[in-house]
Amino acid sequence: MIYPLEEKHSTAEIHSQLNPMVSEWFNRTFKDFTEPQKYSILRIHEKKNTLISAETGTGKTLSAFLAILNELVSLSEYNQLEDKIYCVYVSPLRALSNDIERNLNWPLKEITEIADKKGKKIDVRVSVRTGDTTTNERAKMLRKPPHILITTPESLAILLNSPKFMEHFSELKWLIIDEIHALAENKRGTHLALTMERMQKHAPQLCRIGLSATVSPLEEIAKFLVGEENEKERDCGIVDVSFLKKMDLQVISPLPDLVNTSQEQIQKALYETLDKLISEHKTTLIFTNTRAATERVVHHLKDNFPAKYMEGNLGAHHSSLSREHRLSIETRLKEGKLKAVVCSTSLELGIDIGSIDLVILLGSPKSVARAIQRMGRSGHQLHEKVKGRIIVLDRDDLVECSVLLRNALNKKIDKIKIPKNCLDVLCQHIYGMAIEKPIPVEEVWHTIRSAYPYKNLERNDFNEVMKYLAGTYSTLETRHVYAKIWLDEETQMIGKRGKLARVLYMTNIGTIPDEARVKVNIGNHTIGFLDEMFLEHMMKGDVFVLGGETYLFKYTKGMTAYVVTAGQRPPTVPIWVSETLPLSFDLANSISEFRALMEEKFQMKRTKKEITGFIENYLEVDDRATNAIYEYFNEQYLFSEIPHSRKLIIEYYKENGKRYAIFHALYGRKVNDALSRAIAYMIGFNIRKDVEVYINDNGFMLSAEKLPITQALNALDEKMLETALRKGIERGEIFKRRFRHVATRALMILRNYKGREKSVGRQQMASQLLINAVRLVSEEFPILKETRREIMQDAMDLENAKLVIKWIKEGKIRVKEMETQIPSPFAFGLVAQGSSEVLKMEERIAFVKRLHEKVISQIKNKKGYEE
Amino acid sequence: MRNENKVRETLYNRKGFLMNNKIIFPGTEIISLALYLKKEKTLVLGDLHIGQEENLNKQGIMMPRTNFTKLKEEILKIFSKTDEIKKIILLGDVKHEFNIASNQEWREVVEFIEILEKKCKKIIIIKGNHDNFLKPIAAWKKIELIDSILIGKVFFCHGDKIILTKKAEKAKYIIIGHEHAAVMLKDEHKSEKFKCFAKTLFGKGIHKKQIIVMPSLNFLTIGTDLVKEKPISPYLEGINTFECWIIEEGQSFYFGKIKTYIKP
Repeated sequence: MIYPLEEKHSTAEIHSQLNPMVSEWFNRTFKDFTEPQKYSILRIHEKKNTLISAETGTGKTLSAFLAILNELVSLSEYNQLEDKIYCVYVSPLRALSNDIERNLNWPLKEITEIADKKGKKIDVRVSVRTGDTTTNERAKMLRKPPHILITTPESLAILLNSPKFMEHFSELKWLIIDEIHALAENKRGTHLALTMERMQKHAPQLCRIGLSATVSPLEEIAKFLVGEENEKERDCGIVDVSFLKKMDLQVISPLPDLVNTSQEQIQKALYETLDKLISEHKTTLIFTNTRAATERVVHHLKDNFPAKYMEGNLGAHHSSLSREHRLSIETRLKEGKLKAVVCSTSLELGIDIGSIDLVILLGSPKSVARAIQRMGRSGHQLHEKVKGRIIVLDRDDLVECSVLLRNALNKKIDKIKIPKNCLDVLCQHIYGMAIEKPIPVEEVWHTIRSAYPYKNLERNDFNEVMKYLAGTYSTLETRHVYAKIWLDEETQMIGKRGKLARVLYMTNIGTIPDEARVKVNIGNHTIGFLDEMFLEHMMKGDVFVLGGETYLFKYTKGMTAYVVTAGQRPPTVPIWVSETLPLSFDLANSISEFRALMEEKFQMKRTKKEITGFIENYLEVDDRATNAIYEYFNEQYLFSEIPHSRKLIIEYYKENGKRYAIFHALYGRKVNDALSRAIAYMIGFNIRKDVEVYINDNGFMLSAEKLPITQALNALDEKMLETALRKGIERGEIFKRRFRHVATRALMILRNYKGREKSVGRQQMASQLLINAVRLVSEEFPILKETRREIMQDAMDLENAKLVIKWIKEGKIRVKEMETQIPSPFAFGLVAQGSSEVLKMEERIAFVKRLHEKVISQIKNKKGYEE
Repeated sequence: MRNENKVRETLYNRKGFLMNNKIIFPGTEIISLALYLKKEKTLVLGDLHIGQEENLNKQGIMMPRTNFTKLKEEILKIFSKTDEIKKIILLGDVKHEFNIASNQEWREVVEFIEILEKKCKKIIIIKGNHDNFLKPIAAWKKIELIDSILIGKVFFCHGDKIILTKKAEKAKYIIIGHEHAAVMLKDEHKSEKFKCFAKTLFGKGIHKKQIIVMPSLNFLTIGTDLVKEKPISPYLEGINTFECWIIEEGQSFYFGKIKTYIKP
């Protein structure tokens, strides 16, 4: 059962359970227990599963560790502490692990000193084991294990398959998962969930502790943390002490008018605003969403204000920078030596970064949870205020961020989504279990189904994965090449195949795809690198910024993108908005509701003063922002109509003989990705021609020779949506890229093989060969199935797209179609910067025939040909 | 439709050369991915690269074996469309591995030759750069490996190196494999690659010959885009135009002269 904890323990109660030396240390160091500590210390002492959700700076980490330290100190005091691992602490970040070691070793050192004075000897050891740990250190750890092991999900999974090391886990009592919210929502978490179940088999009495930031719903995170036993949820208590700190949040527009101003003016105003905010505060942390933007902001601040900002007081922090550089920034930040630090997303998670009194977000963080997480980096002491400012540079961002802050203040957090039934991650763990020892299929099945992400796994999918691992897609005589496990149909047992199994497993597991950096070339000259993700949606003709210059994208070949300089042309791909951060569906709906309220005001002929009054009251915005929002809505209202939560407007227009249809579908990019591709597929299927798709968070646009949309919408129900989307995605670029990720995770492409590592380019080449071959084997091949699932469920949001279709069918959303001469104001953003893709609906042979006709008629038209 | 095709069959250019969907030079006919010489009743096949999948397996890529099935289907289709065949010429790179003759290669090359033998007794294998260890397999099937052959005015070789023999000089046409000819078709918003036959010129003055480049009979990859990618065959060094016949679903389409990106 999952239940909220309501009973707080008193300070005296807690102390009565603590070892006197631990008590003494605590009293010497702290005034009193914090909220989360009062709820959780005694529970963890009793080894009950607990999820703690609280902001950083509320003593969250010590809530988990104090009871454990206490028990280990007591055992050590009475000489009962064995050379075994009692507690495993898992963190998503390697750097974080180092931080925790410092935070653990420091109290241990002090407690040991207290013991020394009393003539007692305490020896509790802590070690870190990550991918960076040297072979020497590992060997040492194997001989003399630490009592508390700090590690990452990946390293822990590897340990599971080290029989000698596993012997040290026989006394394992606690498993702590830090930043569990950040893991649960991706495949690293899925992988970890299975690792936890495999650990539980070695240590049946394991107590699981999760530490989480403010997310929703916590019940689901708790379920993820504890999993099931014999098809029954394990117990878990939730400590929810979110929103302890007071919040001072505001959206700032650097200029009163964000439309009729040049890019230079906006940039100038932006840096003046930044400077003003930084000057008014002691230490400022700035989030920019992308690494490139981080560099740019640092550069311009130094450039515009050389007397104020320099190497010594302003720093950049992002994942491409060297570890030394990042550590130095973190240390100087803690010591209060920096005036400001600019980062992409790298300082979002837990490490203690000292006293920051202001957080600035440049551009929308796209979800309430992320905004709170980022802004919660300020006011690190419990009683300090959280102070956050979001600076927006266009009007869509302005409306979005204003509604976002309203939700944050009303504690309306967007729901997280935990991936379910991932078949590629499953492959790795079944392989791992088979390597441990021959094992009955039923036992594997039960272990897997105990993990929350797999509790509803279909038996058929499980069987197909088994068959895939057993290599049944190959002929009998070549099976030894393909089979990773043997599967005995008679005894229903599985086991490893091949001498290399363990090595292959250890060198190839993990869920994070090799980061694909795409080279950017002008001809043969390389000018820089771009993220593969960035390119995933980029379209021929798009203008983007790289290293401060603008370039026009032409085409890609393998892992190289070919571009030309774009001169003075403005970028069509947004600068501030990170392509990887989609607007959350819940927040999108809140914005739509605000739009509905605004339409009401205009329809009721309210005066400007009344409407701006409403805006100011409803949102946390300054005067300039209020005015800009009013103007934006007024323009749209006067031009045509305001689309909103109950009215989906489709605008049609014609240009250069092509039809365009703009859907004002404010559902966030993940939902729009699904809706637009499904509809485009239906239309393309009908007209047998390619359909171009442009997508952003606020809507999508389709373009083709003909657009029979009404017809498509009439036929579109939830089932059709899924069918059309399933077919539609197979014709896009995204399928090729995601297939590579899935094929490497499912170990169909081994990144490391016989001592050689494959470059991303080689992986990509191999995956393109594989796609076609695997399709011939079966359309339901587990790797194809998982690629589709990952795209539709994780990269896109099929479930909520279905919900939108349901709302349309039920009449909750009215669809209104209209012809316009040019796109309406709300569509500008989409038309200007929506990234795009072509759904190739025309058959290859039809394409050849069409171009052939053209070529032949050209030849015929030339003089000198006879018939 | 049929009428329209007939019109195209008789389309001639200014110099009186044939511009036809199926004819590369007089006396030839494109039959899907193969070329048929009518008078000599000879069928020409491009690179096969049998065994590429096993080679990928050895690099840790669990590539299922699908190519050979497709190859067999394709060759039977070609046979069904061809009248009488007296000779079959394999233009090299029959197998893929450089350093050994792998299990897959032994099995599939032998089986493939047996399929060909059912249709025609005379099989000529031209040695390709991948064919270092083809000899034992060919010997097993009692087939000799040769570097080149002249039949009438047509000279056949793999294309990885230029062959300057007297026979080669006598030829008017040279047919090569090696390159896996393909071309990328583009319109304003998309591009797709297709296998193709390419024809261009080689040599100067009176030694000028027409070079015909075959598409590969390997179904794992499409081939080298002759427009954009630098050709690997020395016969094609510095070409800046070629005539092109695209092959898709067994049909061929004449696409006229195409300029390459390669600067002369």
